[in-house]
Amino acid sequence: MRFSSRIFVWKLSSTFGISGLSNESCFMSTQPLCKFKKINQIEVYRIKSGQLAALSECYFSRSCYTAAVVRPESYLTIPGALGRQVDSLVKPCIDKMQLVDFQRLQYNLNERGYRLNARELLELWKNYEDIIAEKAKIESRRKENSKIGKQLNKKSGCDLQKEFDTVKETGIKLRNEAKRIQKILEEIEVPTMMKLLSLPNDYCDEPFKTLSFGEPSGYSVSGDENIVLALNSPDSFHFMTKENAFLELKFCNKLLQYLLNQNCRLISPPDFVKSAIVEGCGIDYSEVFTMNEQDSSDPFRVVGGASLPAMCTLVARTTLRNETPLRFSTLGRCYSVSDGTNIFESSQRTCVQSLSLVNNEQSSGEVDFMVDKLINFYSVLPVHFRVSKAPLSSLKRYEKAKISFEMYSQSKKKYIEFACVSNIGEFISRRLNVYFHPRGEGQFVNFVFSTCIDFNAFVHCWNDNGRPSLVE
Amino acid sequence: MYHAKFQIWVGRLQQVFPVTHRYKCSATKAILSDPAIPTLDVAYITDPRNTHKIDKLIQSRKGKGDIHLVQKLWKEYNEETIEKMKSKKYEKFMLEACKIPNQAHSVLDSYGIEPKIVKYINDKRKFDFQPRDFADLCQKCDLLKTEFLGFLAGHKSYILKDSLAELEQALIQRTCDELLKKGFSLISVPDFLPSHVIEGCGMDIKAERGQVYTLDPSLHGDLCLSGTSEMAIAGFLSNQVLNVDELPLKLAAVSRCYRAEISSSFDERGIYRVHQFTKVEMFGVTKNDISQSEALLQEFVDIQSELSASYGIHCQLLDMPLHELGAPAYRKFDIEAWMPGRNMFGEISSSSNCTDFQARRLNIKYESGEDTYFCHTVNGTACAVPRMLIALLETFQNRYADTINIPEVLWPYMNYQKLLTPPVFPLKMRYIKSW
Repeated sequence: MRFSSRIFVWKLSSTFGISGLSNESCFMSTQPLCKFKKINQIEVYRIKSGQLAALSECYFSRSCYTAAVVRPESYLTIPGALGRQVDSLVKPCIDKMQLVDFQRLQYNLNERGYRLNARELLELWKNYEDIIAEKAKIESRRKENSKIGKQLNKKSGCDLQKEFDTVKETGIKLRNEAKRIQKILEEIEVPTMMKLLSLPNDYCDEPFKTLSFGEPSGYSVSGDENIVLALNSPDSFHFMTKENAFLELKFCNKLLQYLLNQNCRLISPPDFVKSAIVEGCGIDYSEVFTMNEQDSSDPFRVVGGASLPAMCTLVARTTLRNETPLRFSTLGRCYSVSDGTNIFESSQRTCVQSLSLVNNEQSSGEVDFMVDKLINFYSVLPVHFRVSKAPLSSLKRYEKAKISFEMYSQSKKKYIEFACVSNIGEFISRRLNVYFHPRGEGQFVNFVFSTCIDFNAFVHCWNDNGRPSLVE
Repeated sequence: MYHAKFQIWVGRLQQVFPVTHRYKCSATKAILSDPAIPTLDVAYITDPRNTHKIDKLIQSRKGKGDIHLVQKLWKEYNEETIEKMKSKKYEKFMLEACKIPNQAHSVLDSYGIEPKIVKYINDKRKFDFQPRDFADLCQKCDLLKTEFLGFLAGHKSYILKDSLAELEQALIQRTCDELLKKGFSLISVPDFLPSHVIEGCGMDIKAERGQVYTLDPSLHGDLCLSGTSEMAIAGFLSNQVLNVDELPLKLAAVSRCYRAEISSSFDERGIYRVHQFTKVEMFGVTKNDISQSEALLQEFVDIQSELSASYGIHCQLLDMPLHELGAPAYRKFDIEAWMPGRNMFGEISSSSNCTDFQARRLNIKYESGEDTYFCHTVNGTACAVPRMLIALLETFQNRYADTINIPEVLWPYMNYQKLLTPPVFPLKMRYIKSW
């Protein structure tokens, strides 16, 4: 058992039903706990006084308390009974429209390499919705029945006894039915939500003509000069010296100033985020760094201020009243797990990122706008690069479409992406609850996320192509 | 056409700020993978004639280390005859010996517990109104987000917005430009380091675990978040032998710094003490000559004083007493800026001469002729962004607190904007408090 999981202390009745809940707390276990049983995805352990550090003695009496240890598979969903009692950070809204055309969905899944069956997912979702609907019906009948009972109460007369009995019997039947349905719901809720939340974004059919700028250098080089590998196991980091460090400072700042002149607003976000933010962006935990927090069930993830999750902390769980497009930029570090030894595969990259908040109609126009602006910036440089639409198979989970800026690496004999513009649509805002005012279905903010420069990739290609002079 | 006028000045700037330092670097081997083997001045610390002096030093510094234990372990090591036991005893001895702090400048003996004020920089501004504090000013101008951020990004997290974020970039750019003019070379460093590098710089990870963030070892191995780029730069130079002609070597780095220390003091509220911030650091390497490292320390202090003076903020330069020195420091100077909104001085920069303390632990040497010697290292803060922002905003606020003057030296870096003002189109975002 991972002692670092979230622990809720429950008081058990003699029939081992869950009857009470302490405050949500994280405790360190001082001794191994004895496993009892599994209830609603919750692994339940029997504990006695002194077995949980920092747990107040007032929770213990002669009765035996059992700690319910939750192992959250997802920080976006809280399973069953706990979901009603704990205020979750965000409440994701599933995009049901994605499930309607399951052939399109299956194509999307196949192209992106997901081993999921769209038809099965649709049935899973329908089953879930049917149970929700049935539960609602039963609740409605219970209310009606209760109303009838109250009306009978107001009347008087001994001939009403039969009717009272009927109402009472119906009430008991409906309550048992409700319990049964609730149990089924709690059993299927987590697996259903987890499967649906693991779905990637839809894809965009719009074509894009590949553009090419500048002349290939024909330069032949042997590697990255003045770039030193700092660490390479399990993650890789680099030092950059001399002109590379100089260029990192000046070039990225120049690009940033250019973006600010395009009505971007500069922000400096935090580097640590909660797991729900990472998951809400559709990023796997294996791709980000995790802090060493033994006594926490939700350790911080270190993503870097110039990253999508960090920028989302500005807008997560908010309603927006500004006119759109609303553009934000940031310059800083972006961290992601990587063990490649090349500078463009480094776990730490310096990036200039831009996040545009738009409505549905503005989404594709905003992509064109950002692509144009980046082309304007880079096309004056004496470097060869191409701009093309990335294939569906290379898209990240949160991307609907991506326009990729690539330079040719002489040493690696391939094009390497140094900038991109991604159309994300509502994918993240549905998961992180970013709405237009007034809040409601159909009011989700659309995201367009641009990596205006991944400096590590840029400097590799710049070095590789003979370090063309970036002068006046 | 904008793009026709667009220029990148990198080439021209390279003429103005030539990259002068040449040092060896390898693109093939991971240079931080192998820990350096410390080589301490064993003769000095095991000499019984120095016991009293070192003991007094440890007591004055209120630091760790037990010289009596060290000398006892040394004696046991020398008396041991079995080879296996001898090497174990040596390890034990080295473990304790590494805790002994650096020597200190003799002048510090006379300081007592209070720092000596060396000089004041600029006059203190006289206000004809009650100056507001940084948080108030930012709230008026909508330049900082801290509310409701804790749930998403943790305690003490913050987002600088609009012209305050631009001011951050302006400070970084200007500081780097000034350092480049003074012959520094830029280096881009990793923000994640193995623990042996941090310990080699004189920080005891285990004892000061509260200050250093570490990553989950089961996923990422032995990795810590760097609290200052001094550690990464020192790591870069570890196990290297520099040419004497390269010295003094002056390096500068911009990095994100992570510190786990917390404070509930009212004076340290807001972004005064935070867990993540940007800093420009100076790092110097000299020959094994105290006069040279002291001269470089003085140069760093002069640079810090110049930078602070140029912004127009009132500061005091302090020569720190023994108990304020960390284990590696031979001498330390701090600059504290007056923060009118808090009615107190707050430290904005620090410079330390570590002599050969770090060099011995990280094996940083130079060759002169046929011999190699341990270097002396010096480090100093050129600009720590959050506290500099506090000092600037609180000093240059205007009466009605919806504008703040920007120091003239920063105008070229702010598109010649002379005032910090609320954004023309404020962000209208409302946090969803309950479902």
